[in-house]
Amino acid sequence: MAEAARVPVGAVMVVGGGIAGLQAALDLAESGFYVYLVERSPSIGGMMARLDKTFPTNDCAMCILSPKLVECGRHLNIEVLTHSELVDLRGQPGDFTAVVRTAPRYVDPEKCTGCGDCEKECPVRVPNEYEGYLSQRRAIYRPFPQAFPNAYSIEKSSVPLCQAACPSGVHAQGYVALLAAGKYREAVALIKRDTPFPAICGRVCNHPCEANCKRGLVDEPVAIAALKRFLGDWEAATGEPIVPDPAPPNGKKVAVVGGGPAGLSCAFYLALRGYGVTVYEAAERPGGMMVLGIPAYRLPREVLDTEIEALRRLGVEIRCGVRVGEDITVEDLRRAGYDAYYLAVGAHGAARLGIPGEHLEGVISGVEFLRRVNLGQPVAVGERVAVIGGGNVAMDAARSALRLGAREVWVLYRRSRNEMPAAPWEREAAEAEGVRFEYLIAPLEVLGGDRVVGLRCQRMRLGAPDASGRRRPEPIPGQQLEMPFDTVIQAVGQAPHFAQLASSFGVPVDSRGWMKADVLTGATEVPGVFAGGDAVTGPRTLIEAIAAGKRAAESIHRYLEGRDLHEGRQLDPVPLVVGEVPRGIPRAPRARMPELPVAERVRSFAEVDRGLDEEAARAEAARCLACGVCASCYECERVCRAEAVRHQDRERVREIRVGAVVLCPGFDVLDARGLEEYGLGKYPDVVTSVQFERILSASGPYEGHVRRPSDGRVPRRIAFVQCVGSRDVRRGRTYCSAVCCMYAIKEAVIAKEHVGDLETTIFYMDMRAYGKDFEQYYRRAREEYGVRFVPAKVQRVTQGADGSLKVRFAPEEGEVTEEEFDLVVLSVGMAPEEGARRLAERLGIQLDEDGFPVSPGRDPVATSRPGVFVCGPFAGPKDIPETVVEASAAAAAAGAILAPARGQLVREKEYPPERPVEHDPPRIGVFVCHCGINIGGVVDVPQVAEYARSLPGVVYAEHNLYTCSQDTQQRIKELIAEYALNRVVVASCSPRTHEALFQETIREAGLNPHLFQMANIRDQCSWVHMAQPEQATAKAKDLVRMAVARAALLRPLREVSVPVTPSVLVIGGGPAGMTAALEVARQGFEVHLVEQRAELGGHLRQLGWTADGSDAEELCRHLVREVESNARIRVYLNSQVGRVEGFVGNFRSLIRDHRGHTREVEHGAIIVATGAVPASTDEYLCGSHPRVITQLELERRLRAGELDARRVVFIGCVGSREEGRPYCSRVCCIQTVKCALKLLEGDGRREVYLLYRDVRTYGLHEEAYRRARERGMVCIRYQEGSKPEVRAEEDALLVRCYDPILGHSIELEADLVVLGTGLDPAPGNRQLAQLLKVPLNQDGFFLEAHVKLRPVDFATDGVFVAGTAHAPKLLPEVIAQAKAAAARAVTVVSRTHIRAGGVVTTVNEARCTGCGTCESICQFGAIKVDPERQVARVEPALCKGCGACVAGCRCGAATLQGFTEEQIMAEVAAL
Amino acid sequence: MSGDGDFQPRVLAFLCHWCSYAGADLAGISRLQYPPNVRVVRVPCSGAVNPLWILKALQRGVDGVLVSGCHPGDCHYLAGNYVARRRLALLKDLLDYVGMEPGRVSFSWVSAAEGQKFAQIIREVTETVRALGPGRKLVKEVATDD
Amino acid sequence: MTEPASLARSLLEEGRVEVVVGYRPGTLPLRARPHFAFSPEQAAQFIWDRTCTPDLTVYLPRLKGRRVAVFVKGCDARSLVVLLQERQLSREQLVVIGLECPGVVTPDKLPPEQYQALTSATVEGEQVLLRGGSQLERVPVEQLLADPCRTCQHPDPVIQDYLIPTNCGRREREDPYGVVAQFERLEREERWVRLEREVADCIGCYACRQACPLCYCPDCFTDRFQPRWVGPIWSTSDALFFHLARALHLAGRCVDCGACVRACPLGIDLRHVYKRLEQAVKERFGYVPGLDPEAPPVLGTFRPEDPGDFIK
Repeated sequence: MAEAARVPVGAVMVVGGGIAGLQAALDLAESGFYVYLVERSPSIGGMMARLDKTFPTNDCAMCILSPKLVECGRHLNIEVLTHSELVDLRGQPGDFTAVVRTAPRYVDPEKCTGCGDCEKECPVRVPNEYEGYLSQRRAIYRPFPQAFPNAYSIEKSSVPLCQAACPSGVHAQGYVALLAAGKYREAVALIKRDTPFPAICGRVCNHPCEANCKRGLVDEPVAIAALKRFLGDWEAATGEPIVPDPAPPNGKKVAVVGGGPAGLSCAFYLALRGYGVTVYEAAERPGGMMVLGIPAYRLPREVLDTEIEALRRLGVEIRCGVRVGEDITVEDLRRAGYDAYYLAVGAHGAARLGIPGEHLEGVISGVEFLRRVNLGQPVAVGERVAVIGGGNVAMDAARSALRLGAREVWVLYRRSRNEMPAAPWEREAAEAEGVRFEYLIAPLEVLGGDRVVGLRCQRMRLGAPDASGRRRPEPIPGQQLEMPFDTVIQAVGQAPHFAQLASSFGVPVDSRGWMKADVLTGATEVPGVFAGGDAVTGPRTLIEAIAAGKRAAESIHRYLEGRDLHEGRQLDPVPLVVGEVPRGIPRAPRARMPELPVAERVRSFAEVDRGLDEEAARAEAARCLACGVCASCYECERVCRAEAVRHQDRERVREIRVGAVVLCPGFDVLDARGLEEYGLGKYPDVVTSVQFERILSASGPYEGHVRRPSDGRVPRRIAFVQCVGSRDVRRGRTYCSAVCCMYAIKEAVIAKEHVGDLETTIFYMDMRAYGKDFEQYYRRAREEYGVRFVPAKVQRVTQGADGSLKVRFAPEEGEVTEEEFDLVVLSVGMAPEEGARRLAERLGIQLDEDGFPVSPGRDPVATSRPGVFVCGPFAGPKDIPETVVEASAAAAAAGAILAPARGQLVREKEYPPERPVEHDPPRIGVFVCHCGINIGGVVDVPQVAEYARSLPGVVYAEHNLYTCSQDTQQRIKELIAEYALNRVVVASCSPRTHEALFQETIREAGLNPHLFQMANIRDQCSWVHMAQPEQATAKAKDLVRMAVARAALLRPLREVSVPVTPSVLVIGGGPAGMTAALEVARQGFEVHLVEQRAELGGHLRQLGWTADGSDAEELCRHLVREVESNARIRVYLNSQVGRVEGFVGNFRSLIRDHRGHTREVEHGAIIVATGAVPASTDEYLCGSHPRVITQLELERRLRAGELDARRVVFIGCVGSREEGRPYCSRVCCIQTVKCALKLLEGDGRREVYLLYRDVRTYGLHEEAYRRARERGMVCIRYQEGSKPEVRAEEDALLVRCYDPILGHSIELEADLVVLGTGLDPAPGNRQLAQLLKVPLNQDGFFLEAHVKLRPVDFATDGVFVAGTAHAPKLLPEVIAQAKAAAARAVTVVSRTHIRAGGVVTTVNEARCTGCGTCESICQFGAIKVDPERQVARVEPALCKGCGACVAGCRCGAATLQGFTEEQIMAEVAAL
Repeated sequence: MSGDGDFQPRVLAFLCHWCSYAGADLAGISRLQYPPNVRVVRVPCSGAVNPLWILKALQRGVDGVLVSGCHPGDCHYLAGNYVARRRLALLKDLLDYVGMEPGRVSFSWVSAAEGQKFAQIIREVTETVRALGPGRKLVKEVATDD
Repeated sequence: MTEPASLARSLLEEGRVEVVVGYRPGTLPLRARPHFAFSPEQAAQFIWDRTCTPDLTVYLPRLKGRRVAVFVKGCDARSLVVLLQERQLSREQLVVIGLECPGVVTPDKLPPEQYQALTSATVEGEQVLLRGGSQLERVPVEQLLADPCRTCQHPDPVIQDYLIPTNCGRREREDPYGVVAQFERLEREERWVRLEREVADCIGCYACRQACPLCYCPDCFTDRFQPRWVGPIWSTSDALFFHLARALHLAGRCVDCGACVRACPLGIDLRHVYKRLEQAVKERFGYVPGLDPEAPPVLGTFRPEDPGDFIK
């Protein structure tokens, strides 16, 4: 075991930003440690943020969670790292180096105001994981509105496949998405980032994008090219080319030689950067191969002309018919003062086969043939035309020849159809038009005298593959033939034709004659001379030429700016990450363009493909799967006024030194799609419980209306299926997920509240309502809400013809049955989070076979690696309160290591002294925010500011684009000084999110932070009255007037520092009290431990074994020894607390021992750990028959070896879950199973029966239950109304009960009957509760401040509870809670001072009558009537500032500072 | 005057900071549109609302008042809304009894997750008050200093 | 049977109290008046009959800190309970002399001219003998009975150390909310008109407040300026505000002693409004004021299951 560092690092890394992480982070930060909170997703909040209500109180999860998010997010000593993962951890406890990888967010959270403008513009829709995929979200998103940080992020899974496949990187997903959204102009502009020719590319590009389209894995690729063509045509139809505004002319000139796609593309992108560009084109018209090589039936000339015309409009000069080197010399160019040259002259030479007869009349090269045809020059075509070659040129030549009147056109190709390089669609079109194809044939000689008369050919076959991977053709000996032709077109390739030009520029060529240039940059050996396109690479595709030109423009720009040409650029292809193919996408056929009929098209050069209409194009665009998620359309960037979007973000890796690590990455719900019998994923109306939470949620996909996903109908019957993926031995998922029973009940109850006559049925195995107040909730669900509970295993869910779902189940009694439901909710279990498993592996944390961390010793939060702690469902399935408890316990564990470093790294802010302004007349400054266009787009903001200037007390008013921006904060500070402002009003957004920021600013300017007031003219005005700008402006004025009126009456509020006594009083010396005392002491604080009995140990002394089977007595001895030997713990035995005075940080208590001696102690916090007591009973002959005993007695006998019983019958729930003790005692089932196992292990012939109502071996305890059954424990369920009967007959002890499986009663003769009697609250609770002024619940256990999020706190600050005093629980849970209470107490006593005051109630004693109404109202014990003086007094350290007491004060004695009646009434009066 | 379609009522809403104000913000974030007649006064808790404030607002000629807080059980201050519920119940009964129009003063529970509900309540309240016409009862005609 | 005078005398003689607060005959017919006895001698004047209408607990907060004995009828006892509940009095310093009450009379029920013409009046059994000069008229007590007495549900003091029984017969208890139901039968608009008309006469003298045993605030909201709730120019609106606000302040506390109505120089009677709130508190919260000195103030506490039907 590694030894802890001597001087530890006073920082902790908390991994996982769910409720566990929030709690651990807050506890640690409040105890003097700096915290890094590492969260993988864009926001903290975790699973709890997705829940609707929480059981058993039906609290709104978001209502209770979101203040915690804000608290954690704003904490000066908590650094929230979202999008981040802990990837490695080196070092030792006390001094670790954590390696954190942060994925790019693509939005600067500092700048993002969360306004949501980007989201509106984002054209991408992807399934919303937060909403359980029941709705869609955008690629730029915020998981939920209350997210922290309140900033958007962009999801990019990879570069979209289409874009990655494009040589020029055209943003295909982007423009497709924009097209789908109807944003054609934006789509065209996006295309033009990467090619100037949408309409051309849309027609003649070979579109590798489509070949790589992910949709092709589902059905067919999206018709991307057709969509681009649609956009290009749309642009042409507007009559106005869409190009970005070029940069202002920079005075530099570039000559482009060659007006083909590479040259023109280079010219375009240079012109956009402000260069003066001249293009020299040898041919009579610009376009290069686009015009010379591609026939008009594929690319109409007006399309070409329109897109080239756009360049001219940009200022590009295109000089045609000018041969550089002939018509104009290179010298001439140099004299003309060009700063750089781009040579993109293409490959217009023709390759030859080199066979005899090539010179004959009637033989022509494909390149030459097409050039003539395309330039309208005469070209003679005979009756029978042979086209030699299998490329696209061959296709173009063949189809052109047909159009020129040839009767027969033959394409002769030496390989087979499969090897043909021509695009399949070209070949198919040619075939359709009647071109004949002859494969595996090679011409040997052109036959004829002057003119061609035919070809002698050789039959070929395919041999071994060659370098290109294609099988090499080889002649078949003896198979030659002659074919008659009068025209032969050789389309066998292109060749360089520019040797002269290259040499005149001094650019060398390679052995095959191509120019030598860097393919990435286009740079040649000659400075300032760049080259690209086919001239360098040899013949390539159109889009490759365009890409080369685009790259060259960047290079020339860099060259002329004197920058490095290579930096940040690479030619390597973007990796194609295909990822998972989404399931459940309905098949939709790809759009087909209408074509000109064959008969018509072979008669002319009219365009064959007729394009998609708008409707078809949009429908086709909607087929896109958004595989890159973000489409990189840059719409978000365009609309973000705050300039927060940064698509260029990169992943970052940081090394952080911390002293300890707390892991709480949470859990996954089981992916129940794998459990086919339930039909999830197959039937839309089978949903998971998580989805159902969202269906119930008011902010969910259906706005809280309970509906079926399939048809939106309101369900009348809902079935809940329990134990989906839990307690499933067959699938090896044996543990119980601990929470599903309760959440199912809750969901059933809430659903019933939503839908009047809804029937809900829960199919369950055991109803595990084991937690505090759970049983009562279960009972209410049954009796008040009428939720139906059916103990049955669901076998299968199927769908009927009418769409209803049929649930087939095997009830405990009777036949397998089938019932119909409208909606089925699967209560899916908790599974260890997948990423967490990898994390554990990386960190060397040992996991058990279920995937949960192994905790050594008795420490529920420890892991196999010292210094690394776990909490929450990652450590085992559990619900929220237990998660919160463990989080605090983990904080305690980390704190125990790091105590010497407390305060070492925490920051405290220094402020200038406050300016005294109480007695000055108000000088109010008003700042009205545009919030980009969020306010300014609706409200006339300048007018509001102008109006503010006219209000009484206002000496300054202005309006800002973003009042919350960093520079405006600076400005506010300066203006406060300049105008001597003493009150500040900001009219912008919500004080819930921004008040603290502005208060901070004015405090930095020397004003008391409470001299600030906000008017919410965004969330409550511009955003909700978007169509009513005038009324919104009027309302904004009203809101500003109200705020100003209130501001004039604001007073500075001061806080006072109250010193804290750094010690803790622990009441109760059982396992909880001892553990809490030890934890507090380990963190370096004094403890007074009070135990009413003569020895420490409490309930633990009576226990034999703990639930995990370890020796309770040994544990007890160990704890007692540690407590007694700890110098910081003072133990008071035989003692009780007699009186408690004071408040948080400053308690004074009287400890009285049994002899009446008293001692007063001072302490800062109190931990109540008084335990519970085992319940007794006289039921089932207990107490009157020697062989009917309680569990505790059984344990005692087992340990003492006094047991001699062959047949043992356990009876559960004795006196529990019924009138008198309505709660479940939680521990009995598990203790029973534990003892049963001991009995069964001890003696193979022993028979063990368990008569139970529900076996509540929740969580990982299920394993023991399973083992016990395996070993033969017979379990018989009984009902509350038909309990077993126990009677003694002579020597026999008889147990009679009804066996539902057999369907009749049975009688067992038992040697021993063991009763699970549960726990009663300690009898002293009531008195102690009065003493401490803390409440008990109806059962007599202590009632915590909040059952979900404050499970160890009392509403009264500084008082905490742990162990069974709070509710029955198992020992590990007691230990965890004790540690948690210690951590919470340390947050109090680790401070030297507590701040009190601010927004709190004050009392005007002259008015107070001491009537005590306020005291009765206050839940925090903060206001009390002083009995001496008969006036109420407030303890500001306890006051939460709710004002409930003030509203109840008839005499007007109480005032809530910051919300005085005068201030509120001023607002009302100003309305 | 009553039922006049052009009448734009002025409605005052006391919203608790933790739930209803958050719900109002959520309505904003969700861009849920509602009539522009409501002016919000933010209070820490519905329990802080003194019924006299409501009477005073009516006296000052406000046409409608809404008080909204956390749902039962959700109170950030544990029980402020329960205390408020008692007070406001009596105010409501009193106003009903003495003949104040129903709907002139209304009450709601709106959670931080209920943007939709907030917008709906504002629509309802505004329409109810619009239908009632300008507040007359209790209105003090004489201007006073405050 | 213990006579008031002798009981008071012995309490003073034994030094158990410093002062006894009770009734003595008034100078006007049918109006007994408060009497404070500091010495055994002064105790002789104490009487107890059906003219002993005033609620004497109103004086008790002013005698705070002294040992006091007080005579209380059923309604007064309930005031006393509220005062104890609200810690305005200390039970240890009080000796409570309960008066079993058959209901008291009020001359306000007579036409003013008739009352002014009276020279004396006495109650004999269930008859009131009215003498105006030589005229003698007998009217049944019933006719002059104070309104609260007609519906009083707890005529016997709920708290007392001594009890002075009555020898009168007991009345049938009428429906306490009859006045409420009667008003509620009016149309809503008519109700507001009636209320407005009722308070239109109010001059803001606050006699009602002064007479009320439960209006003990040192600064009433009417007296406060930040913010100002009523005035400074008094109007019907202010009168309405005052009476409605006062009703709210007394909700769950008012025990229907009738002092405010009796004290009003303009005869404003809003008793039914107070009764309506009493009824609301009873129906909604199951609470009746003035019965349990240990109960928390009804508006200072709550039950999670309180009705919330009025909340959307």
